Amino acid sequence: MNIIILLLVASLSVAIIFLIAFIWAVKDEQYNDCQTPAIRMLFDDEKIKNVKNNIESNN
Amino acid sequence: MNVNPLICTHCGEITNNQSFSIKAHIFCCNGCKVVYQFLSDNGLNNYYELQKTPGTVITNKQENKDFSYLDDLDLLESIHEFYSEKVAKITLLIPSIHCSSCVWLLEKLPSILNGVQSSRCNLFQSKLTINYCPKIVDLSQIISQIYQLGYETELNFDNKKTNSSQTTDENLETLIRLGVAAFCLINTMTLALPEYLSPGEVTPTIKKAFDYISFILTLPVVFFSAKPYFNSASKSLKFGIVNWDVPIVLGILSLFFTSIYALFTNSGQLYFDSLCGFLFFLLLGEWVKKRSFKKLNFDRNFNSFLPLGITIEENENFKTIPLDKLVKGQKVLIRSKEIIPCDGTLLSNEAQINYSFITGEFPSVNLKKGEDIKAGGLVENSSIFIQSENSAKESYLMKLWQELEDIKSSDKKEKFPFAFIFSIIVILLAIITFFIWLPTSFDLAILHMTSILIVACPCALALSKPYTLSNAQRILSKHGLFLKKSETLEKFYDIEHIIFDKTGTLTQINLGIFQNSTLTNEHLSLIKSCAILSQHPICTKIVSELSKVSTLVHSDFLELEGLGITGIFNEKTIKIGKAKHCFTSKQKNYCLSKTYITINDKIVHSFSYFDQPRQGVKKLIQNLQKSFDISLLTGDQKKENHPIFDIFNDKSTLLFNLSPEDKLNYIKKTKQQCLMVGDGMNDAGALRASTLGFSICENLQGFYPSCDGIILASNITELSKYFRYAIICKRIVKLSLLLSICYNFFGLYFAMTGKLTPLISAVLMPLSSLSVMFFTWFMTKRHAKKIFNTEKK
Repeated sequence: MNIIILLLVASLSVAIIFLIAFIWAVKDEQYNDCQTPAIRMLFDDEKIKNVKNNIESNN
Repeated sequence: MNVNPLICTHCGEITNNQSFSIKAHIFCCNGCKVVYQFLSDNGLNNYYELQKTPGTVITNKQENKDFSYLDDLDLLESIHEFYSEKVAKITLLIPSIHCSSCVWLLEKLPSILNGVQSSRCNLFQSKLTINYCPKIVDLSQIISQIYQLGYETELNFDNKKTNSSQTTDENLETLIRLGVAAFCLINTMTLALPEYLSPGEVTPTIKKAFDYISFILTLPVVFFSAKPYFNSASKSLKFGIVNWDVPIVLGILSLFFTSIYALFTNSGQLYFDSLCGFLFFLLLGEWVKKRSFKKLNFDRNFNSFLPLGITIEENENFKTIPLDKLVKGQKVLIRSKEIIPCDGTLLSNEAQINYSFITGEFPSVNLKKGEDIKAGGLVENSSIFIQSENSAKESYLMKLWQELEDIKSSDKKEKFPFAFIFSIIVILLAIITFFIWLPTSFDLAILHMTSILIVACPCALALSKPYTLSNAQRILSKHGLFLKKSETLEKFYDIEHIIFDKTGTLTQINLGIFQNSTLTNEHLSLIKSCAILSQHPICTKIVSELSKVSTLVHSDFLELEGLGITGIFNEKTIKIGKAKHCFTSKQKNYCLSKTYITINDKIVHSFSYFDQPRQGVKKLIQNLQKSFDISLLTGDQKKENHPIFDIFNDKSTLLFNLSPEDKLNYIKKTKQQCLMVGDGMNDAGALRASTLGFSICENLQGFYPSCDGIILASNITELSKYFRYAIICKRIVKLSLLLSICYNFFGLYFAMTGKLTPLISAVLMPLSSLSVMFFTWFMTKRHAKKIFNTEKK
């Protein structure tokens, strides 16, 4: 039955990785804005190559 | 004349003007058209496909607005989060960010402007974070590009401080502490369960290992998650005050050390799981409380309203410089609708200055060349020049503000006698138990003494008050009252005297005579033609509002002093004036303070020259007068016939013509506990000096001075309900305290008689915390429904 201790330590170390990931995510300010990313992912990635050229020629 | 309303493709404004159109698209003004053209030239038409009419109206849009003052190096460094030659990061506040199209367009900035590396929008906070390379592109270029796109950046003197964004850091820290506590709670719980479910069946080696792992898991909770409580408790003890954090810390320490003692001596019960649970619940409450008010800034001061840059004239050249660099003796240009940043003398021939921001006095003042001008005034009509007398920091307003800074911090001593009494009783009981058990055995005496400290551990007690108050705070925010701190709610009970400001608080600032009117152009032109013939201030105002309307030639005109005017045009009779003047027969339901306009004896429009009381204010005052003293302080001149006199009766004090200092002194003099309700800078001092200061604002992005709470203007009439709710919340706190004391008595009974089994303590502790949390949640919600909803129907 003592194997349970080993399993416990193993599972805990996996859990700690997730805890670290959580702290990382918080410090990375991922939880600061929960609204905009939801909108951002719906935008289509169309190319707007001409924009820069246009502006440069305008100026 | 009235065809189907045409809608501007850019901003959605209804317009009758077809002169600004491109193909099938119609625009309300040149500004909108320019933005549309720019976007369609650059293949950014997607902007109009994501949302209909996504644009915003920039009032007062200036062509070629000068942002060059932003290139001052000192200034750049102070407003950036990070600034070097190669990379810079800045967060801009752009209040008009409001929809997905805005996000899309502003995040396309790197492809529009060379040198911008990335731009990220925060829709909720209306902020844009930009990374760029200062070598390639200047901040002023970026800001003016954003301006060209139709978004105005709010650049304030205040930017310097807010950029450090302390509050978000604090929120993140609480979240991390909460996460750590949650992690440890779940794991210690898992480890403790076998022992609870089948005690004695777990083999000693495994149990020992479980115990040690729980111990290790508890360490971060005690030393990291609980840190704010330790700090707060030690701070309060230093000042000789016992606050709620003291019993909390007492509980944490006693749980922790008895568990360690039990762990190393193999005796007694371990409470690591209870300890983690306790801190988890505490932090959860804290986090929920902090979460709800991210968007509000309660500590705005005068700085927030000053522009970052101002225009000065030097050797006949205009130059925009940072406000910081303004010194005495410079010639400053202040445009229409800008706030004057410093004291000075007027150089232009004439100026119309509105001081309502400082004095509350509503009508603007006319000044002549050479007269003194004070900081804080709003320039109406045209741009003016002033000679600065001092820098912005030395102005009269800044001095006034600085004097206020220390008023409130001086009397901030709060005592919580209940926490104090509770701690004393628990310690006494523990000592008594120790001496009762001492004759039997020393070990048992120690054990029972500590178990008393544990069971009486004020988990539920400590939770009941913050939970009730923060629940109430959240509920109130749904009903238009935003409190800075949930503890503010407690101060409601002490209030004896309510002081109101008039303009903007109880009354609505006059929006314009023809706002909300449905008059046709024909009627408007009749009205203007009539009003233009009189010199009366009301008529002048009518004419200035109807500047675009054409006039007719009159066939007859008559002015009756103090009553009104009558004009005949194209066989139509127009009367503008008091009710007495306009109505031939005795008409019902007219208001003395209103001005009426009739055409052929039919009322077409009525308005008040004075600011009008908000709806429902009269009933509110009547309600409040039953239980409070009421005063009205205003900077306005006393005027007869003002509608405000209908609202107050003889019981209340009405004081007119007060300066901001007078208001402050009035509050200092009253011995009673006051609630001040006001708006604008002129009340800032009074708001800070009073026990409770609420400011009124039309919308949350609008301006409001530093205060304890913000009431949405539309909810001012619910003030009496807020009071009732606060009183009920006090009752809920008492009830939940009673509930948790019951738990404590149970626990104490078992502990003192030495019957405290692990199971009882394990069940009792989380159960008491959870049930108290549920109880307060349920009660605050139920009473809120009762108070706020039923009366609406």
